[in-house]
Amino acid sequence: MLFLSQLANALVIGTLYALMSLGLSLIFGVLKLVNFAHGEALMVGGYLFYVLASLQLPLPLALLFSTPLLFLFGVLLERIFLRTPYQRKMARYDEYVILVTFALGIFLQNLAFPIFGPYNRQAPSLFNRTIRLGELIVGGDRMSGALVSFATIGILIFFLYRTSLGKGLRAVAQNPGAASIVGIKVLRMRSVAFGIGITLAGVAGALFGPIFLVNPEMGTSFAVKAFVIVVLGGMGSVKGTIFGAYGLAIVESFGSILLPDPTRSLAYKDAYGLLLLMLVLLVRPQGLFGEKERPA
Amino acid sequence: MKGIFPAVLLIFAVLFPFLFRDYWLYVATISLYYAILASSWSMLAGHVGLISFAHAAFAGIGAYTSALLVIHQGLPVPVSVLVGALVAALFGLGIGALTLRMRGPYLALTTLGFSELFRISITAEYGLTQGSIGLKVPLMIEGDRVLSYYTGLALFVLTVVTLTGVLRSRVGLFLVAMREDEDGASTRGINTVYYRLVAFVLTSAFAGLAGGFYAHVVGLVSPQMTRIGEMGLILAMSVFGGLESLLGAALGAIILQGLTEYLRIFTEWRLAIFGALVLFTLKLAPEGVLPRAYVYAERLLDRWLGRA
Amino acid sequence: MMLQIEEVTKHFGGLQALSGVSISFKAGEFVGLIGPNGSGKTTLINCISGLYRPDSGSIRFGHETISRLPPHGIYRLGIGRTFQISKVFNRLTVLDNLRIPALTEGKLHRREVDGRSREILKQIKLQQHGSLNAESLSGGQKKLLELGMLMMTDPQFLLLDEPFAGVHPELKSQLEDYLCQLNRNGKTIILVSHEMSSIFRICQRLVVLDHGVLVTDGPPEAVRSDERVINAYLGGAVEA
Repeated sequence: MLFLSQLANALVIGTLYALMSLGLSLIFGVLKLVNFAHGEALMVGGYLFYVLASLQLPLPLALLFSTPLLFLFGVLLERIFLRTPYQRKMARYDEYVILVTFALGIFLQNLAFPIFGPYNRQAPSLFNRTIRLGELIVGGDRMSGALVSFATIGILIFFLYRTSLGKGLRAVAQNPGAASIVGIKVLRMRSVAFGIGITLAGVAGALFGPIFLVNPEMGTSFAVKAFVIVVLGGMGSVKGTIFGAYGLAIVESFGSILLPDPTRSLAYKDAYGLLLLMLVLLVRPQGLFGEKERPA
Repeated sequence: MKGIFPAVLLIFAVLFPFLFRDYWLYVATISLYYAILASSWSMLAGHVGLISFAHAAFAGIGAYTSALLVIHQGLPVPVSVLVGALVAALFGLGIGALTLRMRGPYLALTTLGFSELFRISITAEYGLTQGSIGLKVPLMIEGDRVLSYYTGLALFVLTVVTLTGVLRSRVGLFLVAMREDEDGASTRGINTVYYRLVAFVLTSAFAGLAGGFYAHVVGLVSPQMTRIGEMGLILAMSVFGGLESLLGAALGAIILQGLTEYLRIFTEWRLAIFGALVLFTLKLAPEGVLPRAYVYAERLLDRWLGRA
Repeated sequence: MMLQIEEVTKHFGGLQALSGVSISFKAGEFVGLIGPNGSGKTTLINCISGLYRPDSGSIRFGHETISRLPPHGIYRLGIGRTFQISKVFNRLTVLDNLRIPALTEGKLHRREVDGRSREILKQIKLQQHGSLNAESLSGGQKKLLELGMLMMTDPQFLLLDEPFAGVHPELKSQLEDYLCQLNRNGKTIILVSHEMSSIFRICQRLVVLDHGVLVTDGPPEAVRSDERVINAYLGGAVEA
């Protein structure tokens, strides 16, 4: 019984994890960089939804309005900080993008502190009551969050594999040179990919808000989880990321059973994913599903 | 100009306690902690090209090791601090060995993972470390502010002299070559495995040293010093001061730490201001604000001298 | 036998780059390694110089098995190489680039290294560029710099991967003469190139690879008229 409820919880949380990580994976796939500000993108989404909800906007609309705003935010960030160095083939580009995205994250987090204060805020959830499936009890906020995530992931997959814009993104992810020859505007695709990535993180943040509370540091632990997931599943692989998301959720759910001491096991909850991350990176730097880079 | 500038700074630093007391002296001492961290990190990230997010954690390792040795084993502070540095160096060796084949984002992620793992462990092992409340630690030199400052200054000078010496030697040349092209370096006879480990051990040793020093100046060791935010501070100071300039990064640390105290009026906003500062620096003067300013100052000085 | 390659195999994911390649090289030979694009020439060079580890088989240099040695170890044994796309240290000066191989060897004093690097700088005719960063050099100049770096420690065994690519035609014939001179002085040279005229002019022996397999091995005239070689270049594979 405990097993089933842990599993159900893991599956629900896993869907949310998947949403957040797919953004990171997409950004890596198309722009070939790790977005160290991904956690803060999640936080921005969390606060955006909270603010729109406080303005008495009906919740589904709040979510809907957040989406284009987040997308614009992402595109803006890419245009300001990432486009020029890429275009000009800047000397230490790889190091630069790590530094600039990390700094962006720190900036956003420290912007949220004075604006919103360090307190936890409760965002209203789309569906409040607990749901009973036979003997299983799942929180309504988690369930609705999972359902919206599931739908969003579905839309994303449809978009990537069935629309020409999506195919363009995948083309740039595979081979920017070839893509540009057939007329795909690589620079534009990069902006779009980054925008979508930020949007996915932000929507995840909006959905996480009701469950885990909104505060300026909410992004950090989720970002770390997203990194774990994307590395586990292989950077840039949709299938792998989803697999990794559920995998991590399950490990977290059942890992806490391993340590008998309840307070310590809770404290170490975030560590399981990290240990897994480091183990995977050491043994297989390309993740479980990713492609090995050819040596020079 | 080149030799005079550090000399002037050193003289000013030595005379500092005669000009400022108590509060600002304490701020300066704390700045020296950050200066050691920033300069050692900038060597690893700038000269060697390895961006590691584990630096604050190494400082924490040094701090906790020293603190626990003093509290539980009764060792004198200087010995404990040194052992702290050694333990940090050992962890640096470990991390270096584990990340031998990694560059760029994978290295950043692994070191970030290690840093968080360390922070979580420290917080969780309440029995040993008092968790997030922090460990109370005896102060060095009975808390004498002036002597603590001079100790910090000595450690700082040691750091800069050692690291600069390494960078100017053939080891430094090899490290930069490895940054430029690791395979090319290996093919020309550079033992990249060995030198990579040297880079990690050296920089983490100084981070640990700084951490131990910090512990016995502040009197409290907590997991806060290993948070990602602290790593962000180190990054900000190094980027601002110049990633490829040890002294620049150190100065960046001192200036930013000084600004932190000065901007206390804007307490809540100062970290956001620093964040924005870093972003501006990366966008407009990626080599660092201080190096850029130095170049302008030199040009102005030349023009002025040229005319005179 | 100076260098013995035995049944070396190397694959990358699904791609079989080398399959059971066996070749022996004697001291003092001047061998051309040719084959269509993708035939495994650079992979073989990478295996010999230690950048890749063969999946199976062995490579022996004299009495030592070198297939598991790291690149810097192999360099220390006296096997030097250049790269198809020049690997120079861009943000170091040209002189620093030259100093490095000698400094790693540790045999010469710092001052002697400086002296030697200036000599070599003159030999490769890049005196104007000594204190400039290597990134300011043109592609052909970078190739010369690579050769210069090689000469700093005077290795006995040279693996040259496309040394003529991008080099000025006049300079090319000077280079050819230089390589012949090196060979006359006793150095063993394996030359990978697509410049057939150069290959046929200066190499005493040709080894031909195609799709990771050794096709033929012999004097230039015999190889030139060998049907299998002609097929390798014209049939199926991307043309040379």
